[in-house]
Amino acid sequence: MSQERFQYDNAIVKLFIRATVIWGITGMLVGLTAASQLVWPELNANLAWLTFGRIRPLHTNAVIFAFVGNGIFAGVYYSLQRLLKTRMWSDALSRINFWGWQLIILSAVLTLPMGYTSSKEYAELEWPIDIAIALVWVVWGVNMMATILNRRERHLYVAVWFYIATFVTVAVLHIFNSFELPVSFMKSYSWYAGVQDALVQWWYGHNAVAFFLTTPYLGLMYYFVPKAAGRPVYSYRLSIIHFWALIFIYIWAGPHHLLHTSLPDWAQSLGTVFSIMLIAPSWGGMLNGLLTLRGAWDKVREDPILKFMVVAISAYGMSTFEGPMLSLKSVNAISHFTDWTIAHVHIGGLGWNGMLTFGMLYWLVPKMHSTTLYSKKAANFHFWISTLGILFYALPLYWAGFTQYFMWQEFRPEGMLKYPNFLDTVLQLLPMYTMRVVGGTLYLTGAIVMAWNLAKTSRQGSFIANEDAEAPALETVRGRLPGESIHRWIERKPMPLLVMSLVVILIGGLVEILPTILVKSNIPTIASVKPYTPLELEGRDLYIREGCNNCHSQMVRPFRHETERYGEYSKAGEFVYDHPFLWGSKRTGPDLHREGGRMPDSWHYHHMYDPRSMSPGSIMPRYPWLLTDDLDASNLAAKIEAMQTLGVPYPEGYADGQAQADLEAQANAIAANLLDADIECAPQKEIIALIAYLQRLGTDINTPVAENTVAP
Amino acid sequence: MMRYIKHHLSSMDGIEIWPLISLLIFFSFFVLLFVYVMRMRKGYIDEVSSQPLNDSKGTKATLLLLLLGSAPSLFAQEAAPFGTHYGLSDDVWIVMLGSTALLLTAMIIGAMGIFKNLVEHLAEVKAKQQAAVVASMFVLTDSAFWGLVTANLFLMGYLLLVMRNIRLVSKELKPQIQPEPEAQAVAEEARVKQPSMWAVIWQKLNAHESLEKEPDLLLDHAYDGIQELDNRLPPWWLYGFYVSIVAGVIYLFNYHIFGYAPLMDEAYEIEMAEAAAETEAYLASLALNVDERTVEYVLEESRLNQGAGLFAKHCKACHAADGGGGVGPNLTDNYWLHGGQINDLFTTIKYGVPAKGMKSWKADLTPTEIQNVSTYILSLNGTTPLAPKDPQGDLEEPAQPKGSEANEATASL
Repeated sequence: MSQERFQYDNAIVKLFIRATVIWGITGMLVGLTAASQLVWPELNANLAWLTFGRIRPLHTNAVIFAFVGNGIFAGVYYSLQRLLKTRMWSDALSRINFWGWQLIILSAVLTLPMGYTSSKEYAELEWPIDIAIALVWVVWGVNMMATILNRRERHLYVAVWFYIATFVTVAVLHIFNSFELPVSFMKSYSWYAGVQDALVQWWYGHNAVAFFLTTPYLGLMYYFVPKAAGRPVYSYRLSIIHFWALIFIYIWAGPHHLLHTSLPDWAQSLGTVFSIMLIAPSWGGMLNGLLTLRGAWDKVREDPILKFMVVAISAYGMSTFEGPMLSLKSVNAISHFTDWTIAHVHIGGLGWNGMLTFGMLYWLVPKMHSTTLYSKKAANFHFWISTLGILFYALPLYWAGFTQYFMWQEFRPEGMLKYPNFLDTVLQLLPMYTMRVVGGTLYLTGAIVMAWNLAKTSRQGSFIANEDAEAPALETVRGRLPGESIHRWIERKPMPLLVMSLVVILIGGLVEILPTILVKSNIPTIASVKPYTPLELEGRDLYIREGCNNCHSQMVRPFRHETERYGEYSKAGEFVYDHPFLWGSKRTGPDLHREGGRMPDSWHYHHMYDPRSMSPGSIMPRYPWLLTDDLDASNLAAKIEAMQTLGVPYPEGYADGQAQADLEAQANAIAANLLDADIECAPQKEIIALIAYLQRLGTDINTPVAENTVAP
Repeated sequence: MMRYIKHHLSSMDGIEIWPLISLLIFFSFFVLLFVYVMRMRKGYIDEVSSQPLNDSKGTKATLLLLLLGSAPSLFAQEAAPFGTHYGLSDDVWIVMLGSTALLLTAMIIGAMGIFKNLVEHLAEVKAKQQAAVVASMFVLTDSAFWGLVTANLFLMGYLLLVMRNIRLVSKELKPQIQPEPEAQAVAEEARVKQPSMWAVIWQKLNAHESLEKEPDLLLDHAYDGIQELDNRLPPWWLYGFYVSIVAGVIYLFNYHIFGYAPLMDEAYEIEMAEAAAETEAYLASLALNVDERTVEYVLEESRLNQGAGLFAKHCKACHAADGGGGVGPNLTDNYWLHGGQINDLFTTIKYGVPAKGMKSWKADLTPTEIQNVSTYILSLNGTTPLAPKDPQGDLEEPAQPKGSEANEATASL
C-alpha cells in the first residue's frame, strides 16, 4: 500500500480559536452587564440599545453561537481532518465558513441592540440573517461531508457521528423555526401563530441546547478527552447506544418548556416523559467521558486541561439530570418563570460548554505551536476561579428561584395573596442578583487570564499552518463484509448514516408538531377573540423591538396564585392571531397577559417614562424615547397584508387607507384620554401605540359577546 | 402512591423555618466542602479499583432493538458471573443498593414528618402565650415542599460529585511523597488483597474489567491514535435506562389512560375548590367578614394606624402621601366622585372604578383592611395637603364617626 502525503489545515483552526476567545469574552461581558442592570437599572445610561431587553438576546446569541459556535468549528476542523486522515475538502469553503460566521455574529451585534428581533429565543435574528445562517451552515456541512467522502480512514469515529447529527439536525431546526414572512428588510412575522408558534419555537429552543450545545460538544469530548488523557475510550458499545438513543429521544422533549401553558395536555406529557427517558442516554456520554479517565486520575491531578474536562463532564451530568427533574410537572410549577431556570442553564453553559472549551483550547494552542503552555500556574488559577465563579453564579440563583416561587404562591388565610405586589417578590432577590454578578465577574476574569496565557503561548512557539501527514489511500469496499455487524457497516457509510440520523430526529418532531398544527380540536377557538387593531399591531411590534418578552411573560398558568394575581388563566384560543407568540420564559417582571384595563393609560405613560415613579424600587429600565419618538407606521399596509397572508381575518382591502385611518382614530382617542389626566402627548408618539397594545392584552375573552365556542 | 404521600404531608403550614434550615444545611455543607478541600494535603486517593471478572463480548445489535422499543431482556448482555467478594452476586448488590436508597428517602420523609409535628407543637404552645402569630415570609405548600426536597437532594448530589472531583484534582497541590519501593509493593499487595467496600461496590455497579485486563478489551481499530475498549454497559446505567422508560410509560398512563392524576384544568378546579372551602371556613371562624353594607365609621387608634400603613403602601402613588391627589382625586376635601360615606369608600376600594383607573383591591386587601383604610381616608378630611388637587365630583357633608369615645380618640391623635 502506498503512503499518500498531505497536509492538515491548521490555519483555519487558529482563526476559529481566536474568534472563540474574543467572542467568548465579549459574550460574557454582555452577560455581566445585563446581570448588573438587574441590580442597578440605571447602568444602561438610558440608552435604548443598552437596555436589558435588547442586550439579553445579544448575550445569549453571543455565548451560544459566537463563543460555543466558534468553539465547535475550531474543534471540528482540527479533529475531523485527523480522524479522517485528510485535509479539509475545500480551503475556500473553510474560509467562507469562517468569515461568513463572523459576519453573521457581527450583524447580530449590530442589529439586536438596534431592536431588530423576531423575539423568538435563541432565534432572534431577523430573516436576512437567518438566510445567511442557513447558507453558512450548509457550507460547513458540505465541506464536512465532502471531506468525509474523501477520507483515508475507513470507519467513522463516534465523534464524527455526532458532528454529522449536529449538522443535519441544526439545519432542520433552524429552517423550520425560521419560517417567517418578511414585511420589510429586517422585519418579519412568524409563519406560525400562538400555541403552534410556541411549540415550534421550543422544539427548536430545546434542541438548540441538544444539537448545538450538546451533541457537537460530545463529539469534541470524544476526541479531546482520550487525547488529553492518553487513554482508550471506555466503551464502544456505550457510544453506539447512547448516540442513537440521545438523538432519538432529545428531539421529543421540547414541550417541557411549555408545561402548564395553553399547549394541549398530551403534548406536555410527551415532553415530560421523554425528558425522563433522556437521563440515561445523556449520562451515557458522561460515563464514557469520565470512565475513559479510569487509570488516569493521577494525570488529572497534575494536568489543568484534564481538570477542566472533568468539571465540564460533571456539570454536563448534573444539568442533564436536573433538566428531566425540571420537566416533572410538579417541579416545573415551581421552577418555571423563576431564576431556577437561569441557574440551570448556566451550569450547562458555564460548566459544560465553557469548561470543555477552555480545556480544549489549553490542549490545542500549545500543540499547534509546538510548544508547552506558557503558564500552568495561570491555567490552574483559571480553573479554580471559574469553578468558584460557577458556584457563586448558580447557588444564589437557585435560592432566588425558590424564594420567589414561595412568595408568589403564598396566601393569607383570608384567601388573598400575601404578596399581591409582584415587586415585593423581586426586591427580595436583589442580594442574590448581586452575588450572581460576583460569580460572573470571577468567571470572566478567568477567561481573560486564559486569553493572556494563550496569547503568550502562541508567541513563544512557532505556528505550523500546514502540518505534514501521511496515510495509505482507502480502497473501495462494496457491500457488507463477512462477519461485519450492521453498525460497523454503517460506520463506513457516511451518507446512509446522515440519512438515518435525519430519520431518527424527525420522528419526535413530526409526532408532536403535525397534530398541533393540523388537528383543530387542539386549539379551541374563541369567538370573541379578534385581530389586533392597526395601532395595537404597531404597539406589539414596539413590545417586540424593546424585548419586553425577555422579562414579562404573557401566559397565566392554571394555578390559584396566578389567577388571583393576574386573572383568568390563558386559553389556547386567545393566541390565534399572535405572530409570533410572546409567552416569554422568565418573569423578572409580572405577567402581562391580563394587563389590558388594569391600569389607566396615564399610569402606563408615567411608568414607561420612569418605572420607579409608579413602582418605587422597580428594576425595570426607563423608556423615555417612547415618549419623544414618532411611531414609524410606514410599513402598516405591508404588515396588514402580511397578516392577511398568514390567515388573520382583516377585511378585504383593509390595508388601503382604512387601516391608517383606524390607527389615527385610536391614537387620537388615547391622546385625549391622556389629556384628561393632564398629560400632553401627541397622538403619533410611540408610547400611544404601546399603550394601545398593553390595554388590549388579554381583554378579548371579557367582551360581552364572549361565548367560548369550541370548534367541532 | 406519590399521591398518598403527598396527601399525608399535604399541610405543611407552620414550618416557616424549614427553608432557613435547609439553607443552613446547604451552606454549611458548602463551607465544609471548602474546609475539606483546603485541608486535603494528605488525602488518600481512592483509585478506581477494579476486580477481575469474566469477559463478555455482548451483542452489539442492541441499538436496533432500542429503536424498535423491544423487550428489556433482549438488551441484556450475557450475564457474567462476578468475582465473589463478600459472596454476593451483582444482582443482590443492586437490590441492596436500591433498597438502601429507598430506605434513606423514606427516612428523610419520616424525619420531615417528625419535624413538622414538633414545629406544630411549638407553634401551639406559642399561640397560647401570645395571640399574635409571628408573621413569616414563607409558608410551605406540599408542592413547594417537594420542590425543596428535590432541589436539596439534587444540589447535595452535585456537590458530592464536585467534591469527589475536587478531591481528585486537588492532589496536585501537594508534592507527592514517594514511599519506599518495598513499602510500596507491600501496600500494593495489601490493596489488591483487600479492596475497600466502596471500591467493590463501585466495581459491581459499573462491571469494570480490571485495568490489567484492558489489552484484551481493546478493539482492533484506532482513530488518530484513539483506541476504543469494548467494556460492558455499566449495569446501573442500563437498568436505570429501563427504569426511566418504564417510569415514563407509567407517568403517561397515569395522566392520560387511567386518569389518576388530574390534567391541568381539572387540577386547577380542585385547587380552587379546596382553597375556597378553606378560606370560607377561616373567615367564618373569625367573624370579621364586613362588607359595604355592614361597615361602620369608627375611629380607633389601631384601625387608623393600620389604615395609614396601607395607605402609604398602596394609595400614595396615585393619591399622594397626604391624600392631596395626583393621578387620582384629592381625598381631603369634601368633594367626592363616588360618594363620601364609609360605605361608598368601601365600595370604591373593594370593586374599583376600572374605567377611571381605580383598580379593585378586593384581591389585595381583606374586608377589615378595606374598612381600616377607608376609615383612615375619612380621617384625613379637612387636613391641608401639600399640593391639593382641584375638587372633583359632588360636595357632601363630611362623614361623622360613630360614638363619642371615638371622637375623643381623634382629639388625642
